[in-house]
Amino acid sequence: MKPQFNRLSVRVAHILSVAATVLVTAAIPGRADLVIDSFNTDQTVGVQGTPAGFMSAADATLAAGALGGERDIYVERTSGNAGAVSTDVNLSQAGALSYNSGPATTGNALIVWDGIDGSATNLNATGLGGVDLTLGGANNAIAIRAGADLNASLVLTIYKNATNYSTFTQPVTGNGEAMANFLIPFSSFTVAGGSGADFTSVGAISLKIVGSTADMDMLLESIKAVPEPTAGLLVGLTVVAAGVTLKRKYLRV
Amino acid sequence: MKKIVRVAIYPVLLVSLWFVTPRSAHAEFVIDTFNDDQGFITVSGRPAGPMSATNTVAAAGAVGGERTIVVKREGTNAGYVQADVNLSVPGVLSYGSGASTIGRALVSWDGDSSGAINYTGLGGVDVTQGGVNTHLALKAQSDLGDELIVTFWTDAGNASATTIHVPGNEPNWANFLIPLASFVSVAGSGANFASVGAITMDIIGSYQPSLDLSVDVISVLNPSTVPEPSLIWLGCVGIVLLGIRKLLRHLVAQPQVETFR
Repeated sequence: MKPQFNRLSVRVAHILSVAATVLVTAAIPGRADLVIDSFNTDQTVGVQGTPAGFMSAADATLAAGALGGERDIYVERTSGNAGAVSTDVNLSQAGALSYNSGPATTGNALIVWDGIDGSATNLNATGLGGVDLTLGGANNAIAIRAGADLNASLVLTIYKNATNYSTFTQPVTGNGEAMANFLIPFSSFTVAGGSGADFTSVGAISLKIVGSTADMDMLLESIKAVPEPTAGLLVGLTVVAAGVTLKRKYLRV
Repeated sequence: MKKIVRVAIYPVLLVSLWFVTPRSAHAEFVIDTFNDDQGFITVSGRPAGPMSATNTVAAAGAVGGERTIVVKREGTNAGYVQADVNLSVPGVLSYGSGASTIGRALVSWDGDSSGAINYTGLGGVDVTQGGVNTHLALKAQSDLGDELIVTFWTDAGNASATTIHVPGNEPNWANFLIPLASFVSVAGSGANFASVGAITMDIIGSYQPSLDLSVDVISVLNPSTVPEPSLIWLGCVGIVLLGIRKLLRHLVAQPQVETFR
């Protein structure tokens, strides 16, 4: 009887895994991430020193790994002191954007992908020329990998054009700069201008690091449009787990 | 009325006496108040790997009248390491390093405007002030925690040092009082604290990337002769309150006496 049980269990597990594969495959049609920035191109922008108080700096850098071929960074110090607020890409950590503010110093950094316009202070809301973040409906979320030592937030804005855009605020809990994956479904964005963003026709993307906590350090490792794991994927994973459990159970008999 | 004046005069006299009575000498040898601007001293960007920057400023609040800071990046990346004095935070030396970046900052007080340490530049200053001062006092804070090494040099061949472990619990300041007697000889026969030629403080950021560390005033003092300001004020407030109490009791009692008259 034992061998029969084993044969049966293998057959059951096989059927379940095939079913799971079908479900998972169906859940991710044409799996292809659209990278907004790989942060592999060097860039540094910062403010520090006197005169104390508000200070800003901006830089536009051609970046092959960035959507639109250029990354714009605008950094500002919002505290009343003469401390430092700095941002670098691919320098402190390879393949990452690093934001730092000094003791008693608060600030913000605005990263913009709006095509090659040579300006980090003017947002060209149609500069990307209507890029389809969904890749024909395959993608339905933005994935960001980030970490911070103190509490901060990320404000992501997707522009169709200057008057129609949507936004989402992602809190980043301070945790010794331990990296976390944030998945923001397109459906979570709220309309911030006009009729909101059209994720199949995007003219510009901006990401604001809100550093209202002094002495905050943040790392951004990637930002991309991805397919959100759906209910189908979850069911698939459940079926796989069930199959594995069943197999183990029968093999033990 | 005369009686009121007589009653009130006692607490006033007592408070005055507190202030005019000579107390034990307030002995403190200040190494640096960190009230003189310096910086930002920064190393950043490519080429990746070790990099350093040196800066010297005239500093009225520092022993020897100047302060030199050398900032070093020690890792293999191209991140930043920087230090400033009195810019990020008034009266504070601030050190910071970027993500994945390790480094250090060497602060020296040697009365010499050149970047190199002059181990006899302070000319044999007596930090004990005739044997009165017995402890190194320092205030520091850090986000991740790391070490400071403070070294007293009598000359290039004789020095003593202490290692201070700054905890990683910013924004809380840690107060350190380290007996000079506990300093360890690191060169020759050790330092003669009555004849110091240079003082250095090494902020070791080698163990923690993305480190923030701040140092407040650094001095040599005798903890038993430094009056705690809060105690003085508490004493004064107590005496004044006693006086007021006595005065009020007298004023309350006064009308009753007059009624009976």
